[in-house]
Amino acid sequence: MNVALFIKTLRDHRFFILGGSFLMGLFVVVFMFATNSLPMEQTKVWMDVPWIKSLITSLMGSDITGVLTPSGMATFSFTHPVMLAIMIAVVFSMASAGLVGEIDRGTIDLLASLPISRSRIYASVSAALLSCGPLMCVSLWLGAFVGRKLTGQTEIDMGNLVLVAVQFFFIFAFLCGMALGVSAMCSRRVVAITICFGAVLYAFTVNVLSAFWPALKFVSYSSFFRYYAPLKIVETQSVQWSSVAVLSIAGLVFWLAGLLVFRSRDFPAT
Amino acid sequence: MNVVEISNLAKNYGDIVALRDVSLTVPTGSRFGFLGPNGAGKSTTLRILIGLLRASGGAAKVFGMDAWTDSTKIRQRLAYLSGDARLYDGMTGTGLLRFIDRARGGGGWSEAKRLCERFELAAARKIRGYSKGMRQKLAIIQALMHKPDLLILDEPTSGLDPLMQHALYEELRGVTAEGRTVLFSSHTLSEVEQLCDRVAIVRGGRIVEAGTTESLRHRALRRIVMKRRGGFPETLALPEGMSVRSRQDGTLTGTWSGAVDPLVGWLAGLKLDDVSISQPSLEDLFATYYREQED
Repeated sequence: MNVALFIKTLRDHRFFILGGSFLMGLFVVVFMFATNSLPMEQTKVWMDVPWIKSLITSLMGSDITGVLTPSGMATFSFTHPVMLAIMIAVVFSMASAGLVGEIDRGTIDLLASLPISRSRIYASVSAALLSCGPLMCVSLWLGAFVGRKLTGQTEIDMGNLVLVAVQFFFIFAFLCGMALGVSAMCSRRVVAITICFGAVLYAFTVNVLSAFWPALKFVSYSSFFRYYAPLKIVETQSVQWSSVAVLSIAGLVFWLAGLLVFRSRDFPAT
Repeated sequence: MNVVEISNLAKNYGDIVALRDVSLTVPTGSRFGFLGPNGAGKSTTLRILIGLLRASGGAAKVFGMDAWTDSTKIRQRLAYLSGDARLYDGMTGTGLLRFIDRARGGGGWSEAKRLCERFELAAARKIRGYSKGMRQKLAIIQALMHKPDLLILDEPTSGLDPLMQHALYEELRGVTAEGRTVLFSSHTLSEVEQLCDRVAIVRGGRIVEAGTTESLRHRALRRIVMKRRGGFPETLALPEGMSVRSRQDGTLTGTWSGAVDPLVGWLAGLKLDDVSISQPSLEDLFATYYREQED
């Protein structure tokens, strides 16, 4: 890894990283306020509507009716599409700017003419991106902590939410691996971002549809959202290590494929 | 001792042949001019030397090492200025130079400060607000600041005013005076003529001529400028070896290749008011090589 490039990558995206993390934490606080203002009976009535129940189950990775506790409700915010969209935007923006963005802008000539091997360039950008994960996880947890204080929901188990944040880090890491891999293979930033968002849309659609259409259950294994089930963590009070393993291996495969391509590809003049 | 040794180098992009059978050597301590029009293959050759592109065939060695497999080691002793220098717009000039210095392991900051003064660059400003000339100066400084053994510059004077071009030429003369080497691509022949001691001419992905600037100029090519009241008719019969480059206001400019006797005989029959026969400029050589290729 090249320290100068690592720092530069973080500096280039500092407002995006800090802003994104802050927004994620803020979203959790707002969400906890909103859910706290809803009577639990109302929530239970909604859960009796089959399609709402299926939708929430697909997002949470488990049947929520049995876990309608304050902790269970708090984990909703950790899996809400808005929160995931903020995280995905930060990951895709950083991953694409650091690799394919350099090629697209033509600055790769400057970077690749320095005495830094391509593997070290790739590793430096990857390390910078991955180092944002803990900040986001802490931001989520802090959001829940502040929300708990402000709403007075003292029964929320903050220890359980640490485990959810740990699992969140692994879906973040998977997305980093995928985005870096795709970024290393493309020559246009817009193409890389389109492919990554296409993959997210596919995963989201398959995950949601499989809750309504049992025939899609088998296909849903290809959706990375399937391996992010915060409610199961609350139920079992442990990280889902099998899901962590799947996310880690899949992310690593994408990352290694990107590394192999980045090491051997041409950087033609733009 | 040669810093760069290229033999039978080829590069294809799918069906498009960018380089074919290019061979040349760049001696240590020389200022080597790499001449050719846009699309001739100059930048492709330079990018292969730096390790930005992988050759499709042949061999490219820098400091005796393979340009692709040993590219990181090579780049420790080399600096490159891209033809279209793109920089990080969000940084200040100082920030960019500091980043380059740190990424290279340090040691170039005092030289960077000297070069900023030499090229009159206000480096504290954001690059986003720089003019083309300022960007080019910054790109030149980042290439020079670590005093590399080999400087590869792709059209470095693009966007520089004549004063700064002169400053760059002086810096590059200083580089070679220290025994370091400059490989310099250009399509502006006069600057290669002014600056370089060796030259290679590339066209259509091939080297059409290589040698010292002097040896190329001393080929049997002569530059002719003739003047005659009433001008020269379009139907003027030209002897073999004579090529007209321009015809304006009674002045005909051209080049002559071959023995001098037939030229003198032909000129004697033209009833000229004035004639000058001189060494060719590289411009003339360039045009001649291209015409030969086309013929």
